Amino acid sequence: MNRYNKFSCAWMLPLLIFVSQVIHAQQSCNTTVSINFPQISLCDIEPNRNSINLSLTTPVEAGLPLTSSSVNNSKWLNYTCAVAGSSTNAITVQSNSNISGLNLQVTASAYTGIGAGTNGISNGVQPISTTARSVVSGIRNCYTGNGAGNGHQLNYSLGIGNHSTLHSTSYSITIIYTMISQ
Amino acid sequence: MRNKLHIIWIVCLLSVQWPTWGQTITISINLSSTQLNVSSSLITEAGNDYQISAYEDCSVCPVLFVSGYANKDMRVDVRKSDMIWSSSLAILVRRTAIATGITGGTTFQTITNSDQYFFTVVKNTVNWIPIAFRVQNFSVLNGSGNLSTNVIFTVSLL
Repeated sequence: MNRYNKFSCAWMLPLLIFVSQVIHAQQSCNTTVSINFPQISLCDIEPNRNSINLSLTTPVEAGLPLTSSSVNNSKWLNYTCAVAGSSTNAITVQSNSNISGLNLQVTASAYTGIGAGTNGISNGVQPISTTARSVVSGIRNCYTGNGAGNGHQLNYSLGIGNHSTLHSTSYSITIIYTMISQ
Repeated sequence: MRNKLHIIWIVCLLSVQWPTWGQTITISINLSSTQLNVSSSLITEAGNDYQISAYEDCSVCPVLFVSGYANKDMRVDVRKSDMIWSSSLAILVRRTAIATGITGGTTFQTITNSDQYFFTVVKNTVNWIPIAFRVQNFSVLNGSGNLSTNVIFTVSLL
């Protein structure tokens, strides 16, 4: 063995030891962390759920019909929504009973407020009856902000549907808003 | 003369390595997956986002097992590799148990996509290390469903 080979062998062993030590000097393990976010479908009427009153105007001249200029826009529709993927939600309105001879309607205004995300779009004027109708649609992951001034302002109006079925009395109905999957 | 010097050098190296031969450093974790379930009850009022900015659930906390040499300290680093993740979301980790022989890692630190120092085990004195994860900066804007990331712990000799 010449001098060059002796020199190489002498350094090979410590080098191998060093390399093996480096290889053994690090090891890893892992865990998959999953975060599950629930579906959220919450809606509410603000500033409160107290009743509103709409009335008809008595004609001042015999032969004229009852009229209605009664409107109410004191209520706001708030909601929070989280959906899966590209799904969308809507909010429907319906009443627990129909009022004979009267047309009760609601219009949700365009969204305004301190919320964020993909808020819904108003579907314009909707008659309120025992049949559910969508007032706001296209709701995705969003929140409107809480309280009056946030969300969609609700404009209620009352009109004459059929004079022949009107009665001189008061009606009280419950209006129900429901967030549904579209 | 030169050969003798080489032999002396090899003997010195062997004597340094000898106490650690036959041993390795290891790290493992008892849970291959960890689930955090954000509750819908964290939203108490329609119109609001989640009312807390951080969520942790240690009902089933993972435990790291680290072993190594009696005469050497070990450093544990942590990083993540995203699977299905949102850049707005932060995941943090900390050790949950107070113990002598281990330093660092007791306060939540954000896990990034590159290795960061987590804690040091002093001379193999502690092997069983419970940890906890926390998720931060979440919102209903994240939508619903599962987001997941792979968290990797690496032990190395100091």
